[in-house]
Amino acid sequence: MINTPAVPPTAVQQKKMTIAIIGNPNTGKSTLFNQLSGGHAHIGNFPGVTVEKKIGSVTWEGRPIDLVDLPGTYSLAPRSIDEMLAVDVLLGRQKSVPRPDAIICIADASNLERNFYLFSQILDLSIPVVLVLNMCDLARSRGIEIDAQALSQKLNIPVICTEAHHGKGLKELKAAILKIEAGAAHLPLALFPNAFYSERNQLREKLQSPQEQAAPDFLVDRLLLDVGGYVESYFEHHAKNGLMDHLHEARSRLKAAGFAVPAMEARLRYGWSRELLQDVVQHPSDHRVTASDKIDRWLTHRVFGFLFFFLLMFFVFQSVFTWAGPAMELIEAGQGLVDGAVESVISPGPLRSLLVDGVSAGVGGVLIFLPQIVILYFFIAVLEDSGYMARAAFIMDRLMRSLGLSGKSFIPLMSSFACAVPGIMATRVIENRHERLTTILVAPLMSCSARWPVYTLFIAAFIPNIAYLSIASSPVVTLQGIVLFAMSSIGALIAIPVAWFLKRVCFKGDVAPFVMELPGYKWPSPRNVIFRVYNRAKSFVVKAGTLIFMTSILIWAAGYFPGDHSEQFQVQNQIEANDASLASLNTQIAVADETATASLKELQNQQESLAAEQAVLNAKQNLVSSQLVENSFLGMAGHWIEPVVKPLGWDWKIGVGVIASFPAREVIISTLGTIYSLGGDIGEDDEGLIGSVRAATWPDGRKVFNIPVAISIMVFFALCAQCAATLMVIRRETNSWFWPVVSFTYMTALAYVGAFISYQVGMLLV
Amino acid sequence: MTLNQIVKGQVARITQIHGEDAISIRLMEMGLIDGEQIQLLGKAPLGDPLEFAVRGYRLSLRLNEAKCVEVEVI
Repeated sequence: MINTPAVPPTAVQQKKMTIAIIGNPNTGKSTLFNQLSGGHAHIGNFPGVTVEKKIGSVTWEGRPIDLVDLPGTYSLAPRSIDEMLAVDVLLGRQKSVPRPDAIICIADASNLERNFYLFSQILDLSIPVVLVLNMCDLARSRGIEIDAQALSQKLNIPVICTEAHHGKGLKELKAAILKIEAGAAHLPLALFPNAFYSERNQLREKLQSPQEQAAPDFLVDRLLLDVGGYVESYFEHHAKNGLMDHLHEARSRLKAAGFAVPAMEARLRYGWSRELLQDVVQHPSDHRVTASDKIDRWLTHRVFGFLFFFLLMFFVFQSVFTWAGPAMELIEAGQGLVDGAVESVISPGPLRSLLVDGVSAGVGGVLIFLPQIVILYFFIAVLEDSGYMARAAFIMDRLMRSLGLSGKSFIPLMSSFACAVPGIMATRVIENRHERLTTILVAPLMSCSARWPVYTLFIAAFIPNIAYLSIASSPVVTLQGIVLFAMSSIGALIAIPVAWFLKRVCFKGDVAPFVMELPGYKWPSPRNVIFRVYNRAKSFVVKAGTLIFMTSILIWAAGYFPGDHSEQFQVQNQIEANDASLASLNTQIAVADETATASLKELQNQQESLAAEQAVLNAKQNLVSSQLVENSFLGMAGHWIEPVVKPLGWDWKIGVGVIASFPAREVIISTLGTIYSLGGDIGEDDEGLIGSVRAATWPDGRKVFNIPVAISIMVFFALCAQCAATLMVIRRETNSWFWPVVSFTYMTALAYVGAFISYQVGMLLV
Repeated sequence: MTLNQIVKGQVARITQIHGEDAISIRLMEMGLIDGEQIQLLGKAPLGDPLEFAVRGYRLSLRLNEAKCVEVEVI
């Protein structure tokens, strides 16, 4: 770099540093990242992988620093494209992140020997490292004493003891990082025998080509070491002929010399770790029974373990329903207030329709999910932070394996019974990509709370209220209840063969090891829990929210255009004017002098005739609205798909309802309300809606709805993916449009087939 | 004998990890190396997976994963 212009030293100081944070799972890495970044992280995705990209930009003593949070891992030997990401970032091969100037390696102070396996791999990267021993307080309480200073001298790198959840040790950590010069190098640890390095160098020469940059040593090490790993399969597809043969020969030569891969790496690294820690760490005898072990004997007990687990799940589930309910009603009420305010300021017209039916409905459609996300995430964060989450996976693993999944899929799937959105967000605990995708794809089949309004309406309208078992004259087992139960379980039942199919056919040959650490129990840190809930809620509102909002506006526009709404607005104006005069009449009547009978009578007459006029206007308004919907793009689409939905027993109006309910299933209720000329504000238990749905007829006079049609609609909604929020969260979590398209396609196909069978079989029976 | 055959509370010494597949590599990465001691602490309610103590931490393994680990009881 001869031509580099001279830079004043202060400017060098200001150069932006990139610091990567890496560590084993359960080391408090996210807590440390949140503390260091002050909670202001840009959250996105790395291109092509499902790994979340978290970058916190901070300025310490005038020096700008980007902190990059890498996913928790036990090893830098990548087995999948997602695991490769961390290696690529650390080697500066990930284009969206500059090569790190330093690495913070965080280790669990109670468990250094195992944590040092990853640490020793990081030391081979030739990048300056700061070692953080986190949860030093917890280690001390378990009788583990660490001489950090001696360790630092032995390793010749800074070693900082922290208690990240209390914010202790962060000042020292920042100071250590600021001492590192940008661009400084570090000698690799190089634990392997010379035979290995000479094979590595030969292999690197084989890889080199004039047009390509030389592969970093670390990557060639991985190629040689990781039998069947990601690096090997990458080069298998990209390298020139003869490379694979050379690789296999090199491995056999190493084996003959007594250094068989992959066993050599583990043996050498663990050997180094134990020897290094021997004089530095004092810990109690190996087979001591800890308090955590005693808790475990109860919480994983054959009887009490299950009992506790199911009681806990019941409590979580119940809380989501009971606590989210009022908050959701509050959001709806708030939306109603906003609508009212808009309506009082703006007269009926396209702008008002856009604001009320498009914008407000769209924002409400996003916010309505927040209470469930926040509550569910609160519990998930508490369970994870306390260490119970790993036990839940431990307990449920055997059952979930019969579906081809693992215990880690249980919580996400159970959460999806409340709402698939937080359920899919909870799949991040599943490290295996295929298992995670399978869980994401079946999660929307669980019967979420948005399906209940649909079930409630059609069951109330069409399923006879027959009680089969009554206790003290209150019905316990009813036909309506049985149908509701059947509708709530059909999705979960269908999920079994779907998961099986995905695992056995689509993601074949991938056996995910369930080798999982069971971290010691500890009290969850409130700060940590709040941070995580807040981040989840924020990322949902910002990322998925914008897309849900846009979808709602699109559906609004499709239902609004191209009709001429002037008559509708005119009638609406009259209705509102009449409403105002009615209100003033009512106040006049209320304050009127009881003795002035004549004038009171006069007022009451006026009121009556106005009310009658109002009823006529309302009916007209409903008729006009339903005609406008029929002639809108949405209505056209409904007519257009009528031949497709006819085998399901549906007319075009139901077709419109299904299309309009793409943003959210429950929208079908208000759409049916509009189409059946009832005006916009219709609830699922509205007598008027139930009545007009019952009365609807085909052009030839036959009734549209009967029990098979009602079942067909319910089965459709049980299995379909009519939920923009879910699809947007799948898009966000998988970082690809492919998976939401797959979800939508397969679920719509399932829903169609299910509805078809229910209707056709139903018609044979009635 | 293999690791899935030891009884609760028993301490065994690892003699060999079978195979070179993803599972055996993961086991070695987690510190299951010949010569190392491992103790069975308990089982999940349905008898699988198992909880072990190794290198001072607690590890959960499925029966078929424990089968890859050759041990001798000490």
